[in-house]
Formats: sequence, structure tokens, C-alpha cells
Amino acid sequence: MSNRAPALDWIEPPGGGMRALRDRIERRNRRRFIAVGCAVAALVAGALIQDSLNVHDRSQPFDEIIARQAANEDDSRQQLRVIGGAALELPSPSSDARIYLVSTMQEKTAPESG
Amino acid sequence: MLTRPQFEKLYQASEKQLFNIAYRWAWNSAEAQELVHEAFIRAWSRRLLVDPDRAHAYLVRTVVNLCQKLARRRRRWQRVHETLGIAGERAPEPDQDYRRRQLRDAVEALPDTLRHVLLLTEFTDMKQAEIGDLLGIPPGTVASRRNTAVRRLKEKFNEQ
Repeated sequence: MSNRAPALDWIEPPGGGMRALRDRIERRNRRRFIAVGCAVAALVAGALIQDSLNVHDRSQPFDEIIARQAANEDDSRQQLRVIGGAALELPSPSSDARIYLVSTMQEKTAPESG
Repeated sequence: MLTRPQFEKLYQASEKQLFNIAYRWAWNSAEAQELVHEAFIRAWSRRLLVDPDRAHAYLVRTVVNLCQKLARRRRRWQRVHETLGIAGERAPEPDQDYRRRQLRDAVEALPDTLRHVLLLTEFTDMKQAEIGDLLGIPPGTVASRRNTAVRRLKEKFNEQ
């Protein structure tokens, strides 16, 4: 070519380029694996620490609600419910027995006339 | 998809071209080789997407972008150093076997647009249309920029 740029001659690249490139790719892959491993390990460690410290910020309100509901159910099972009347607990001689005086206010029905 | 044998063959075929382009930006063998390797690493990490027929063009484009980035970084630091009034970071001295400060100064004096065209036409076997496609300019502009770059280099050499 007549219009050739002056003095732009070719230079040989340093030898062993392919091997150096392979090493670089391997190093980069290794670093990436290490980074991913560290991230996973940090996540697991974080979860374990949170668990051991019993820090459950999100689940705490739910736990409270569930506990309260369970307590209410227990109470309602133990209490005597009188529908259409009233109950009075009397002193009991035995601790595992309760005595109630119950009165109901049922309407008296007229005897059937034969 | 780019297979390992294709990748290695591509390296053998393109290394010298890419190195010579990168060298005229880095002016240092080690740094030029690093730029070339970085381009190949990017090609390898995108091997599932890279078309083997267009892999060479992809590599040239990547090297051009990396060189441009290097030049921008150097200029930025140069400005910072000038502003602070301390000795600026200059590109490393050319290697002993390529001590041609004249040439370096002449090439460095070219605007990036001319420099890219000159180096791509000198050191790759790409056609003007391919270079134009890569740089986003018409083939006619590639030819005219190349002529301008060569003329300026010659003028610079005649001056010295």
C-alpha cells in the first residue's frame, strides 16, 4: 500500500500468552466460587446466629396471637357456661372437684289438657 | 456457541493483531497483554452467546472499548494531577525493544477517532465496511479518516 502509515511495524506479543490466559480464567473462576461460597456460608451463619439468639422479629406477633388464642380456648373449656340461667360456684372440699349451683329460667309450660 | 478448541484457535489467530492495537494505547507489553486477555476472558464468559463467525469482530470491538477506557482513565488522572499541580501519571515508557518516543508522541497526538481507524486498518484484516460497522461510521469515512491519520503522522515525522 502506497499510503502506508510510517513506522507502525508489528510487535511480537510476550510468549506463553495462552497459558497465562488459561491461568487467569482459572483464577477468576476460583475467586468467583470462593465469593459464592462465602456468601452462602454467611447466609447460613446468619440464620444460625439468629436462631440461637431467638431473634424472630417477624414471627413474634404471630407467636403471641397463637399463644393468646390457645389460652382463651383452655379458659373456655374450663369455665362453666350457662345458657338461659346463672351459676354460682360453691366451696368444694376437694381440689379436683368443683361444685356449682345452677339455676335456669325456663318458662313453665302449661300442662296439656286432655 | 464458542467451544474451547474454537476459543484457543481464535486466540492463536487474533492475539498478535489485538496486541498490536492495544500496545498503541498502553505503550507497554504487560498492560497491552492484559487488555487482550481481558477481551478474551469476556468472550469466554459469554461463550454461549458469541457466534464463532463473529467472535473476532467481538474481540476487536472489546479491545477497542477497553483501550478507549484506558485512555479516558489516563486523561482523567492527568487532569487531576495537573489541577493539583503534581507530576501527572504518564503512560509507562515504551519497552526497551520499542523505544520510539517519536512514534508514540505522533500516535498520541491523533484524536481517538483517527487513531482507532488507523490501528484497525493497519493491524487487522478487516475490510473498511467491517471497520465502519464496528465503529458506527460509513466505509467512506473510514477511508478518509485513515488518510487523514496517515497524513498527520507523516507530517509529524517530517517535523521531527
